[in-house]
Amino acid sequence: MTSRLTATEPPGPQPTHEPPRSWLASTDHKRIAILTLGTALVLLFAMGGLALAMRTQLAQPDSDFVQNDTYNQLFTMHGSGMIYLVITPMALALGLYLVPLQVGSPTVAAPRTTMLGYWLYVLGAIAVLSGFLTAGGAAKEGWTAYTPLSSARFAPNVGTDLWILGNFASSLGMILIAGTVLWTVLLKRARGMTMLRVPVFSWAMVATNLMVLAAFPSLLIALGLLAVGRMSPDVFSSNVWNIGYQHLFWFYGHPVVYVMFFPFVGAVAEVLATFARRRFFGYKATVLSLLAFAALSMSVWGHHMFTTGQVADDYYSLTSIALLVPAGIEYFAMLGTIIGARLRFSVPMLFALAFIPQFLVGGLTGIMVATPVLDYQMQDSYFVVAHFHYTLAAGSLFGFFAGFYFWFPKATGIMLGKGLGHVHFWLMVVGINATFLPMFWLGMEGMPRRVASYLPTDGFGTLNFISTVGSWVLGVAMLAFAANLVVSIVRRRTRRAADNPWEAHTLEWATSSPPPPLNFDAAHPLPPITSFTPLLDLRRKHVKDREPT
Amino acid sequence: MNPALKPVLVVLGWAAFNAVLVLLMLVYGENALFIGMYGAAVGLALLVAGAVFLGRRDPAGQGRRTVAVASQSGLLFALAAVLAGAGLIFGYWLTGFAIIPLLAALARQRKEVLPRGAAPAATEVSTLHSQRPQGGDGGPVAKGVKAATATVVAAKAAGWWRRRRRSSRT
Ligand SMILES: [Cu+2]
Repeated sequence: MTSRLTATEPPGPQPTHEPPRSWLASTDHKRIAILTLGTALVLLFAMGGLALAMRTQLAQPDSDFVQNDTYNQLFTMHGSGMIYLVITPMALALGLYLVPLQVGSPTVAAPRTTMLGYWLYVLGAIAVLSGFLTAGGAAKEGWTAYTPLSSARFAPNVGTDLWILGNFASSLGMILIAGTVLWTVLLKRARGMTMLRVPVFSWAMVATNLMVLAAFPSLLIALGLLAVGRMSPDVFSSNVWNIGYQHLFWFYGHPVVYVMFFPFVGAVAEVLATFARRRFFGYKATVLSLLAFAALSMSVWGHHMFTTGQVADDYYSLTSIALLVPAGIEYFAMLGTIIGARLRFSVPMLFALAFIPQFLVGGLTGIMVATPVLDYQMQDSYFVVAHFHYTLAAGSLFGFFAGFYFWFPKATGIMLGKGLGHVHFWLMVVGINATFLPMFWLGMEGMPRRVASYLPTDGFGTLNFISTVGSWVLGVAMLAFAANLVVSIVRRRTRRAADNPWEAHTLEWATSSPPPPLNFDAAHPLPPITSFTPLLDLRRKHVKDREPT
Repeated sequence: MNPALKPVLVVLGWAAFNAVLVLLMLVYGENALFIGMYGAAVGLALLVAGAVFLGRRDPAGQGRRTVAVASQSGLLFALAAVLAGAGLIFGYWLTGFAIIPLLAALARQRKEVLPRGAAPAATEVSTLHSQRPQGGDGGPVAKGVKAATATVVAAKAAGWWRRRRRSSRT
């Protein structure tokens, strides 16, 4: 499938087919998305490594595997790195790859802006990580970088400056990518692809990108405020700036969790429907609930600030609990899709099925900590750490892998290995739950988060040890994943993927694997678009036509 | 929901639901400063809605594809931005350096825009399967065949593109 056409394109730099330039200077949304995903995957391993160092330190009381100052850098870089530099880019890149294909567009809107977004992300990530090379070490104020702790008075290290700069750049990049993908789904759909024929995944990206555009600028302002505070630390001796920073930060900080969640819900929805051999159940209700969910998520940020005593508790707990309604509709739709169906338990389906109960644990404990009376107790404890890892690691990461195993054949033309896929999946289920489930009890017993050590008399030893063993299992699971990638690519000749290996329903499966430059061509034309599952319609029509009358 | 759901209505509806939540906040008595912050985000959503509305109305923008396949301006702009930002940390001399990639980016950006009506060159499909023997471009006949194939495919792509552009998007 190597098309080498260089059509009439007289001026400008001639396209090159030689990597790396054909990749690094590409305006093809698929390449930009693969670059973004690849970068995020590399960083996922790096940030996971930092977490393993932390877990090793906490395996036993009074351990001195790492020093306190290093530990502070580890949790700051792990948390902020995973959120700003790994899961958010992964989530948006999945949309960048799939949305133009799913809506039948040959390109993403404004591809150069998208490319600019990618480069801002990469250079930002380099800036953040380069903090480790500076004398004072990397940033160490937590991923929230609360003031006045992060002002120049208390955090004079250059690493914190670089952290602010890098996260500003990469988040700006994410805004650009979100904008172009939103524009594509809203305004570049193929003929016949009405809004209510847009696949569930692409609708999830609509909601995601709306949140990015409305909420991420708030982070840029917050980081700008931090930068000002580092030039004149006296800013943060006044309450309004300190509490103002928290408002700005959490106005981004809550929606970003949904940015890191919706695309994977969309991926899980596509995977469930495909392997249940059914149309996704409750399409319209799901679309509406995704949009309502996204809007509600803009209004709940104060639930991270209950213990400041300076927010309208009732409002934020009301809106937080209201999140249960759209979440419930989505869960109902997911269950409605699989109940009673003849399921095929392939690797993507396993990840999608595990996503459902695991994310539920994260979601329901989220309602707990969004209840002021409980939050005053749980705040800053390991209960919170357990909660958000169930949403992001046990939830989003499983959704990501469901999507990864599902669409990898489309993007590369190679099937990932089944055996190693199963090893990866089962080790991950064991590892994730062994790591994060004990943290709920640690939190309730009073272990605070962000501490480098604890005393033998605290009684946290056993649960911490289980958690650490779980994290090592998780590490092995990720090695199995890496091995699967390498082995599959090396043995690509025997692992060719067909155009639609899973008998999936949406347009990206109508084109070749991998798709041609402009997504659809003479050999792979757009099929008639009759619903949000055009390929399923075609297959059913085919079956019907062949039935004897 | 109406089957002919307009995209601008999606964004507007989303902004409207947020606006309701902002109003509800007034009832619960949050600090006006932070209600205003949420209000500003609703304003942003309305701006997006406005852009989507105008985007549909702008006939020149419909399906026009003007960007070359290879583009380095993104990298150069990003480099300029990050260097300029690093100037705040390491000294303003770095900001001066940022001018170099900025100028290079601006120069390239102009070149990367295709004249109207030009068919864009397609990017090569990334595939890990090498389907044709690598190395050796073949003799003049092979080259001729390749060129002819490329022209036909390009013409088809261009024609398809024009048809697509003409048929307005639903
Ligand atoms: Cu929250």
